[in-house]
Amino acid sequence: MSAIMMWAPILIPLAGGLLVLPMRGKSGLREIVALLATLANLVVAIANFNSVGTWTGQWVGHGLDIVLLNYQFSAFILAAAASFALLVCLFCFRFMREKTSANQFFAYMLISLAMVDGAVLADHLVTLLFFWEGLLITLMGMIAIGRPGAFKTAVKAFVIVGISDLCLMFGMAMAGLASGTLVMSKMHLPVTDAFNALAFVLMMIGAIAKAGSMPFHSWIPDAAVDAPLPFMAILPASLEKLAGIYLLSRISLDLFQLTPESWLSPLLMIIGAVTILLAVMMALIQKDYKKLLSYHAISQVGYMVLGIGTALPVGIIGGIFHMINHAMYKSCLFLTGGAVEKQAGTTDLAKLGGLARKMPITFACFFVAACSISGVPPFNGFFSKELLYDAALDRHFIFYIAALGGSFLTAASFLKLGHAAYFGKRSSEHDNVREAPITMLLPMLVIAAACIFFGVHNSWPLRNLIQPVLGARLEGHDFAGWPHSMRLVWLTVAVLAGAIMNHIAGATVYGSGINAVDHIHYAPLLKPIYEQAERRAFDPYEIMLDVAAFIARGAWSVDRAIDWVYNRLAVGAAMLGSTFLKLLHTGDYALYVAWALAGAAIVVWYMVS
Amino acid sequence: MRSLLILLPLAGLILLNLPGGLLAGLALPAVAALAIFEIVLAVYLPTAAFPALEQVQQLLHLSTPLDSLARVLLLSIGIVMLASLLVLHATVKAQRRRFNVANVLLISLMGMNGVVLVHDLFSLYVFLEVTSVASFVLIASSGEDTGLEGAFKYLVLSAVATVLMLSGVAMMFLFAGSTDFSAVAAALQNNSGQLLLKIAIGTFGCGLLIKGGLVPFHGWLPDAYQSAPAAISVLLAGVVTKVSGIYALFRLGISVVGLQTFSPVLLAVGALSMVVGALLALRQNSLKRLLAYSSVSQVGYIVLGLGCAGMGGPAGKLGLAAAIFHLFNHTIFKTLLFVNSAALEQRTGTSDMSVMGGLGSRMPITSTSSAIAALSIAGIPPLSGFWSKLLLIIALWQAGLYAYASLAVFVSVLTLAYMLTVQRRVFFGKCREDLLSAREASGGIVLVEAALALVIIGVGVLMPYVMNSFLLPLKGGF
Amino acid sequence: MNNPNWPIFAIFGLGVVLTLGVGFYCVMVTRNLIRALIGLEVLTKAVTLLLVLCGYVAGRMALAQTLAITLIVVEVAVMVVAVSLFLGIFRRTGSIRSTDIQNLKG
Repeated sequence: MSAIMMWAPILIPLAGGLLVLPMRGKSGLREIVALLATLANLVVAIANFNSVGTWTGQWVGHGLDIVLLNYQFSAFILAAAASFALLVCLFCFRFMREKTSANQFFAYMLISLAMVDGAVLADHLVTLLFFWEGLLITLMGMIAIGRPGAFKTAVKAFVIVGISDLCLMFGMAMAGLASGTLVMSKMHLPVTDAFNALAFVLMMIGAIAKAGSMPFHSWIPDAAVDAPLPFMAILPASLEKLAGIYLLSRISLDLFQLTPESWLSPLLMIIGAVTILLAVMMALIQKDYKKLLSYHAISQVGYMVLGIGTALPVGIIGGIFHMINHAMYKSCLFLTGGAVEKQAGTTDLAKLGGLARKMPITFACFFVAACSISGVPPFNGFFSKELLYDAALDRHFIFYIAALGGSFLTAASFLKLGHAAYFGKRSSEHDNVREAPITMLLPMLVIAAACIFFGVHNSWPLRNLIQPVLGARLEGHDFAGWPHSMRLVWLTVAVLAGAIMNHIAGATVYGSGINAVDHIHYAPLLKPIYEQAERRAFDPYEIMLDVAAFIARGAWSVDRAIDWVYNRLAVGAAMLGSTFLKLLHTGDYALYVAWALAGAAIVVWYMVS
Repeated sequence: MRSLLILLPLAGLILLNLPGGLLAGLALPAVAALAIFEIVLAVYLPTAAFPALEQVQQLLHLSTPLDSLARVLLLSIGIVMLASLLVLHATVKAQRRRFNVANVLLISLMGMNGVVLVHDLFSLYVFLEVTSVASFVLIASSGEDTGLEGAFKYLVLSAVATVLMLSGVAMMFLFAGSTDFSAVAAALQNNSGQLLLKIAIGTFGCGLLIKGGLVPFHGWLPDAYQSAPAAISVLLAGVVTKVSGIYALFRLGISVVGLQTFSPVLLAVGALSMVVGALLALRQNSLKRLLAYSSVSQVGYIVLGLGCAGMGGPAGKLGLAAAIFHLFNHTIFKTLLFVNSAALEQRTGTSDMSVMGGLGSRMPITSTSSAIAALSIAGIPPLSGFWSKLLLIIALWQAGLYAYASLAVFVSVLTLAYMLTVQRRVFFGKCREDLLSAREASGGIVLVEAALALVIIGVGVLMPYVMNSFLLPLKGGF
Repeated sequence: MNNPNWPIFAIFGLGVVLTLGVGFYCVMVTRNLIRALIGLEVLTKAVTLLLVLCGYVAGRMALAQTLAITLIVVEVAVMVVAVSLFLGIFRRTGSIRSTDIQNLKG
């Protein structure tokens, strides 16, 4: 593989982004350039697909080089990222048309794509870190150009992801120290001793935080409201998941040898399970289309982390499959949300209703994606979730219960969302809502179709894309086709049926789709917890800010004391000395002569003795 | 070639004063040409010899080759003379006075060149006196009361310095039979331990310390700098003090006496000057007086470096190089600061800082160059002053003089304090109502300011180059 | 010390020191500017004497004479300038007291 082909996935979007940045105004040129850049990126990614190659370049010496590696996993991620970028770019044609900061959005999106490509291709820890950190800036930029007042959220995102990046950096340093090299494909550390385990944990934090798992998740719902919607579709939904779970897989499979016996595996699984449940419970009570979807994005990451945490082949395959599936259906869901926002003007569920008739294609895509995320056969989500259930059950049934419970609540919340937005009485304000334009519909349709394809014909992605990642560790298993344990399938179907019944019951009792889950929302134990959560009492970021403010007050008092010492003592002494000396200089030359003679006398006396 | 530096000003003097005032109009350009010639000579010293000049050189005892120290000083003299001329051109408009001042500048130039080039003690004295007399006249040239007062005090103390120096020369002459540097050095070697010789070194040194303006021999300096007209302050602060006092000390130490003998004296005097100068500068209202005390302080640094050089070893060599480097740097930034004060005086009519304020917006180039000089003098990287101070402190530390090194750092802080006070009082903030009509200084002054500021930045930023081509040869040269 | 004339040299030297003392005293104590200048003159002459003495003891009278003459000439120049400065002060302030030229201080 030539160097150009290795660098093209990074350089093409980067060039595109930089070109687009100065293109303000209403020109269509910017959209064309962005489209061409993403298209070219996709072409390159597909061309690179089957080749394996590395590229090494000296940078500052001492082992700090730039190393790129293209193999099945990274090629796969590159192609996936390129496809999503192309589709979202197409979607943005109409969506970003009236926004003034569209040029920044496209630029940031393209540069983010370049950074993700670089991070995925990187084989050297420092190269990885460089591209990983580059995502921080575009992340912040993309949020900041949203609603007025979005800057606070942008800072929050920056701080949270920045702290996790710091952990990643420390973890990298420790891993490099332990293994003696910084090249990722050469590292294969056991996690039995504490130092390596700590390095693993730190790097893991970096990876899962980027993907959006708890407790690094609190910026995502805020960004959902403040940032422009296609940002949600491209970054938290797809690119970040791809990059984060890719790194997590590489850490668990290549850099470290994660085994089911190690204590790290239950750690990952617990993080995964907690994320699944807590996030989906928060999602349940949301009354805004975008915020609801964003909590689900967090929740689904829990599944992926759980899967990889099991350290079993079935779990890892399930996790990675879930990653790509989630990227697909979540971005499709966000795109439908974008279509709704553009056509109906709002994403407040209380104001929406009856859109199924007005926007049928959007609704159809929504339906497909919602079924996928809930794990309805034969869509793609079902198959990846079955693999995950299998792995979770293999480890401990409690994780299985958590995953299953998550599915129940996921299905419930999507039933609520679908009902509230697409069914029910039409609000009179939205009588003239029409279907979304074709450039917005096309991406949704393509992704929905892919969801169906990845579900029905799941042998293609599993055999060609995902299973080669594990290679020999697969131990001959082949997970394509229908799940092998029918018992699990029946349990899943039962849970889904239960969710449907729960929804119908709730809708009937409370009168409308949006309130269908109020019985959970206002349940005796959960009600106060929900209220606190809504007020961000559990938000780790807010807690951290309070602690920082407290420390700052203390530091200020210390500073005042030091200031007093300096101002009174030092400055006062100098001024006193100065005044005294000034008085000595009377202007009388005779005095000066006397000084000179006295000085000379002292010098001569010194010289003589 | 070198003798031209003395002969040409002399010739110029004669030619300019031809009866009938034929060439009188060429006064300023003539001096300028000589200054430029000097700069060029300092940088590209040609080795060609002219027989006629050889004779003259023999006569004037100039036959020994120039070393790097002398070249640094020649360069400084050329630069400052040029700067002083441009300021003169801008501030003094009366033809008569210009002509007179130009003539005396020629005498001063001749004197300073002579000091740098000679190789015996008595000639050194003669040229020092020539320089001093020219300075007296120049300080008083404005005709103001204060000028006369400043010149008078300078004269009295200079005479005391003369007496001390000559006593030393006489006693050395007693033992050496000649006043040539090498003869005296040999005599000192052979007769070390003689009481009279020790006294001689002491008194000669003190005479030079008076000329250099070190504490407690500095009484004349603030008055002279403050009361001199703008162009002359530039010259005085830039080179006269340095050449007369500091260069002569260097020469004495390096070529005659050997620095070890009086390095403790130099260290003590240097430290005292640093502290006293900086403290006194803190509460001055007159900009020129403040800059005068600042000069005392910075010359203290140079002498401290010289004292460190006397401790010997690699630290000593570094100290010497640092001292010479700081000498050059101080010439540049002190000249710049005095040119700025000349600009301020030109536009506001005073150098009293209490009536100035907020001039930064009116006089941007002056303000910026003043800021650059202030930062350099305080030792802020990457300007030139930082490097010379850093080298000096490192040399002191390596020589084991920890107390002096810490004192040098402390005085840097004081320096920063008073320079920032100047900036704040004169340039920052809102412009005072009565100064709203002030404009930027005239072209010549602005040119000098910009050029000197660029030199400060250039020397600072290009430090590695300077280090290799300038300092390391100095280090090894002694 | 081995020169038989050394008592004379000693007395001479003592005389030089005394003259120096007188000169310094004059410069430092008087309030009259003219007297200060006279004091400076006395100092210069003392140093000339010292030079002559040292020249004789070293046996280099010719060089000492040259130096002494040069010295006298240079000091004449200095004195001329000094007196002209004094004249300027006198014409400006009408006073010859040193207390009246203490305007620059601090």
